[in-house]
Amino acid sequence: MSEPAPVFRRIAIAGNPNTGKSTIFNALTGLRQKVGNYPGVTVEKKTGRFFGSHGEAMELLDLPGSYSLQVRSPDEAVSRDVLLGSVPGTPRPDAIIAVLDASNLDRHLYLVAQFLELGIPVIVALNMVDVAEKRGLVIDLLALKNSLGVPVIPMVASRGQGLIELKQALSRATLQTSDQRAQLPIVLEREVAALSRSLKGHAGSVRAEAMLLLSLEDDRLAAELKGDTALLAEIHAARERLKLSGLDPIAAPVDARYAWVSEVCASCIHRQGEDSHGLTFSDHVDQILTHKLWGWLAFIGMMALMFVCIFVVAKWPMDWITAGKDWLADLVRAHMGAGDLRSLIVDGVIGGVGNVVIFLPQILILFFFLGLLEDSGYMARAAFIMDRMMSRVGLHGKSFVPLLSSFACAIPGIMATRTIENRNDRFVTILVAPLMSCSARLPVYAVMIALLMPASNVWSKAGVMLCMYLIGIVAAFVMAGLFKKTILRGETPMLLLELPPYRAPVVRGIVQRMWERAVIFIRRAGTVILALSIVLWALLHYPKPTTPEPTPSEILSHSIGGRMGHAIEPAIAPLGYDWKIGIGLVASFAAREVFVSTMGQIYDIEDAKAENEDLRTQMRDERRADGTPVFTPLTCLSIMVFYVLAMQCLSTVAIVRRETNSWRWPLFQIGYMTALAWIAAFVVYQGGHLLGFR
Amino acid sequence: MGDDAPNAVPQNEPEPLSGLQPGQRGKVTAIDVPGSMRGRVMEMGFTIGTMIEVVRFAPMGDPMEFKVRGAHISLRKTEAAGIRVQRI
Amino acid sequence: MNATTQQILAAVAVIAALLYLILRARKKKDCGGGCDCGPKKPQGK
Repeated sequence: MSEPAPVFRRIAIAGNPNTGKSTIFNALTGLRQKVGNYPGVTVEKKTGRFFGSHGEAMELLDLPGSYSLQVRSPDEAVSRDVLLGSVPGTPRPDAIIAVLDASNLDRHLYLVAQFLELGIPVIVALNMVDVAEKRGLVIDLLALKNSLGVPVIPMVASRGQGLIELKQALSRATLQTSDQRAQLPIVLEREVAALSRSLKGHAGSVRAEAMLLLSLEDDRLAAELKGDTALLAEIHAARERLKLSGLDPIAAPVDARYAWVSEVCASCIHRQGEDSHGLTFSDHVDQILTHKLWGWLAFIGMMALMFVCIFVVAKWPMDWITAGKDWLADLVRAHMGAGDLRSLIVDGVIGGVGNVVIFLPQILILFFFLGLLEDSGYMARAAFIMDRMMSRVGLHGKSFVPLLSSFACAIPGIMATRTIENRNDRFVTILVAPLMSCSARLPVYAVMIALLMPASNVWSKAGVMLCMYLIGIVAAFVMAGLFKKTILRGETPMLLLELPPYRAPVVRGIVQRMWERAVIFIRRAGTVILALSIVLWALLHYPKPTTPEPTPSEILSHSIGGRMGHAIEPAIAPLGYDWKIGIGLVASFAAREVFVSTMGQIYDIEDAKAENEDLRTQMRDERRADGTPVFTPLTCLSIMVFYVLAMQCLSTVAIVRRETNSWRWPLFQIGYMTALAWIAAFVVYQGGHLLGFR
Repeated sequence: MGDDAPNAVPQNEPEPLSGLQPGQRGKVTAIDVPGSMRGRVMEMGFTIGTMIEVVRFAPMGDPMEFKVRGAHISLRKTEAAGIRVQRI
Repeated sequence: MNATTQQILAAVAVIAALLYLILRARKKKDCGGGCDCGPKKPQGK
């Protein structure tokens, strides 16, 4: 990847999560940002450009927020490796901006201790000084600067304060490395020095690398060293020697760093007013929000609000988009004579693209909401509350919100799984998300329920619908548990969740991120979905019947898609379906709602909709060869159950493919969900027969 | 490293952190947590000699919320069980 | 545009779509470092 212009300096920005790192990154780089990836991992590589005080071009690399440079998974290795300069394609940064929360120096300085070990110039951005001041903390900046040996810039990034000073510090002709660092016990220091000599890294950072390797637990060490048995043996030997001297190789560096942190804090921080037992504003809020009763109510209220926003508020823009789509289709129909291309454009292209764009309002709203929850700190509380239920199936509390969002639409739900750090967990969540009945299934449920129980009152109908939702939820949890025990096996990840202090969300940043995601969705998924829609159109229109002026139903039956419907009839007959329903199933792959309009096409009804009386009458009167009705109550139930569990959404497939970076997972997902749907529908239909229903 | 404050209660037996109730405090004496959990837990601030305060249990009973070095960290009971503390 | 022209153009579009999908599937397989592909995790806050 070639750079457009030479860069004066490369800087990495790093720090704990929740320190406002992204705010600083955005403030410095504005719109000059680029998203790429690191080879072999699913972590984003986010870079941006800004100009220093003298106009020189600087590149800023946003490293993922982390609590330590110690590595325990390939994804976490990124930060460490970038800073050690061992990532191909990413040169070692010339400097690090360490972003700290001024109210939390007791812990945030830990990471700084590790940065200082690297031998790279560090500049400390002491963020959120306003909050610290309100809490009565007085930080002696000069003392801090001296203790760390690096420039310290006080900032309130959300208000833009301190940015100029930060730029100035970054633009100095030479940046100096600090000579301050945590003091290690002599025995440990000796081992680190010895090990450094055997490492082939950048001269400045081998010491840091040695320290990290010495304190890496056995179960990760082998994977890290990738078969370098000599080095592995050396590290083990060093560890034995340390143990003999009475040191714990894993605890010793951690203790040393924290001891240093305590010293630095003691000399620089003075508390006024608030004693360490005092309750902060956050504490008070938490007493309500995580309360046994009120916490639950608040949580349910919050989730309900999010839900309503996605379902209801999104409806207006979605209706506009549908109207726009229809208007465009009419326009084309008016200006182009009947023919294949017109059909392709109207049904394939406009229909296909429409199916993509229609998700946009829900994605935007969901991501906005998620951004608010995340930034304010409430998201951690949601995970805290739901963790018990999630960990029963081996998931992390963080899986809850993506699954909940999937009730509106699985696509933003799946995109929201990015917050789940553990790869296996994330994939399991992605795999089961579509089982949570999305809004596209509603039209299908509506038609089937109307056929199933035309005379029943609203409550019974709602009850049946609720049952469908429950089936989906139960299936999701069961499959999640199953996957975690089998193919995506892994221990239930540690919770180890930080509950950050509540703070006001930075709306600008949220909007920017929301927009980013939407653009990525449109560009990536959109192109694939468009292509797939065209192909699907072809499947439903070729080959053409030889009769002149064929009706829509004739075209359908004659096409490959139609033949597929016929062909799968033996497979779906045990579920109570006939080939016409079979075609409906095939066509639904584009979008579940298409089932209704496809049924309309088959029964030669123009522009069929769920509320359409004609369609329902037609379907009710439809008879098989032996005279029995096709759409018996049992068949309707079977169809509904099938739809609850089947994977039938091109767009979702495209998103899953993108999020998992391979075709393997979406194909597997289609496979297992189809099997699940078939089995369930089979059980419902045959079981119903056995019990005497029809 | 001996006892510090003169008004500390006479030596309590170290017990698992998961056994403490909200409001109670303990000083870490050992971290018997398996595998890579151990290092993570320590780096989050649960080191030997650190004072931990139990803030609350989650509404469903698990996980637990602790105050460690000024930050609020949540651990599951099974995870906290490996951390042995001396009640203060 | 008469029906035959439409037919031809439609067929072309379908083939183009198929080719696009196939090429894309190939490209993903050997996507190494540097190209803008693959799933992403968000940065810290």
